[in-house]
Amino acid sequence: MFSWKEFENTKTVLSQVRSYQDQAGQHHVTIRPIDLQRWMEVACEDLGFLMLVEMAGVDLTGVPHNTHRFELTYHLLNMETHQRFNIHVLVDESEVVPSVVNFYPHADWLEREQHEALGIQFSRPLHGLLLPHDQKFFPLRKNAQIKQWPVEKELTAPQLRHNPNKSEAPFPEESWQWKSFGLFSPLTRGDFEWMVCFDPVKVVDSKVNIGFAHQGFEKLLESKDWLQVLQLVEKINLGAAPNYGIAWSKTLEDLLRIKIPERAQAIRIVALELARIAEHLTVIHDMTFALEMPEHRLFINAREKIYELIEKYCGRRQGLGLTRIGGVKEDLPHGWIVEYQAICEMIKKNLKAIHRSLFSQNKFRKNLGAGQVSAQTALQWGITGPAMRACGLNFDLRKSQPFYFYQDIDFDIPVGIHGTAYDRYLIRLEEIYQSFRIITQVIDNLPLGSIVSQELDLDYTALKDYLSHSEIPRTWHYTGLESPNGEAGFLVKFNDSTTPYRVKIKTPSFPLVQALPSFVLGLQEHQLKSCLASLGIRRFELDR
Amino acid sequence: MILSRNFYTKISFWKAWWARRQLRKLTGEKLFKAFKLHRTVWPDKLYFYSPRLKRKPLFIGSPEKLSHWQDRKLCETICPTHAIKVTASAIIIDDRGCIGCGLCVEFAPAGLLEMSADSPSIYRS
Repeated sequence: MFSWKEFENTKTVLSQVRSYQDQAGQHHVTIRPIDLQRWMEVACEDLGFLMLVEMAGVDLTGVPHNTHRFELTYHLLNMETHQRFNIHVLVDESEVVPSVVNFYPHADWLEREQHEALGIQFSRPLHGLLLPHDQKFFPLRKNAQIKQWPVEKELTAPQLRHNPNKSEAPFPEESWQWKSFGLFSPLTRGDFEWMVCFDPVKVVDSKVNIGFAHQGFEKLLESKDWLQVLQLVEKINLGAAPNYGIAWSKTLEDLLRIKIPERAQAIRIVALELARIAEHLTVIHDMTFALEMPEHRLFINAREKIYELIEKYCGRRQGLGLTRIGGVKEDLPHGWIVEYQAICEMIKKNLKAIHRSLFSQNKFRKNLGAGQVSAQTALQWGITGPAMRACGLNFDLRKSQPFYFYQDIDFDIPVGIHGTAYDRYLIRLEEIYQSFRIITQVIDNLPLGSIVSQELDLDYTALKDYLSHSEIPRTWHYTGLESPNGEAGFLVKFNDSTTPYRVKIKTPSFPLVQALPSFVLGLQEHQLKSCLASLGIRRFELDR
Repeated sequence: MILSRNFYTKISFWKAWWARRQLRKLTGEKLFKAFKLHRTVWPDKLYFYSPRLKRKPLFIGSPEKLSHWQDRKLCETICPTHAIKVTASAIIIDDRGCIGCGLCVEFAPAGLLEMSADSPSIYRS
């Protein structure tokens, strides 16, 4: 267990620290950019902070008493002791920040992102990730004037070298073909281009390219009210809409120390788990659809039942607009619980029969035993969720950092062995049963009372007044929840006004797409499709 | 909880046949004709989006009632996508911008705005 007091006595690096504070269970340290490499070495190798969860930069112009132009934040996670560690670096415009790719490969895309958004220089050559390559301004700087961005030139497939002299021994590369996956495929549900190179049968090489539908979402959130952000944030992943809404409202509630009533907590858990079931069913549908098995429709039918349930509760199929700051929008309607029980039993019974018939088909078993993600890959690239649990790492935010009633509920975390697509399928299937188990326990012991905390049960102007006058900490804060595809959350910094100063969105799809080329080598085309579908990559989660 | 797997066991043909037969009984569907059944529908039958999917705010009040509400510019400021315009006589909602979050309905006095599927839409065919 890492504690600052022990650490203070043993390490000499301490003299380099500018400031330290422990706020809301997270350690914050501010250092100079020269000491960053040394600190990362200590954090990664001595203290066991093996995963770089998120990294964010902010432009500090306009902040009182600021000495530097930018601030970079590295958010690290120790999966054994469940501790979180924030390393802040203050940088000027002309300074160069040492790259940390040698400790955390996940930092590659994150550094590229900060480089093009803010103009921070790193100690390795970087090119753009989301924006066009010839852009000449930095959108996330506070003085940036946003115009319409220029359209990128036509995309071309990477060329292989050509053998001019055919009479010599043939290059094996001559038979290679580049194929495009992703951009328009219904399986990926994503606007990312994925060029895959097959020696006619197996995958040899692949290149990922994202940023086709860049909206500048984080920049947009900086101009919105706290309450408006709540509505917009749910659009990031429609399948896990309650997850993002609750994560945002939980950020504010943690910082303002608002206690929400027990009934609202229970309803939030129900919404989270229902969304999880629906999303898992979608992903399993995609896997079976990729293998062209007619059973795929049955998963969609089951998902429709769940969506009907959610619609009867909050009026919208995917659970949008269900959260309010300090509680939930509505109470559970009369007779809803009876309908839930009927649907729950039906889906449980049907899923067993569907699984049995899927499992008995050779096509299914052969094609899913590929696409292995090792535990080391998952840690290095920051992969979370079912893809991480499939390779044997037992880490779930509902168990490790339990919020609301999760610590009182009886449920298990399924863990796989091999990390293949079949493991991910099994885990998703088992998590559906576990989610039903959670919901039935919550509904059986549903507490009485109000659904919004009494302090915040106000009209809009009064609520805005209340929020603007309450003292919100000006430091960075991270809140993460376990979304169906992995850890999703927000790394935020607030200011005096009622708009957030900087919001960094942590999504599960971003690291998954970054790591894609590293674990698909050697797959065949139909295996590749089902492997891709089993990861659950979603469109707007790639965009910032 | 480590999941049990019998991934490498052999399954006999008849066992597989029995599992699929059970599934067919349960769902009452013909699995193998699934693709063919759905192909001939278009273009004889056109699909519409369900009206439930586009439930949006609708102005149901009268101009008098609106004029009594002093805070009526609140609707414009609250909207996350700037899709609302408040005039003297009515509240006009731009359907292209509206994401249906329901904040305006929630904070307006009763009888002025309502979430309904009948709101005018340019996408309705």
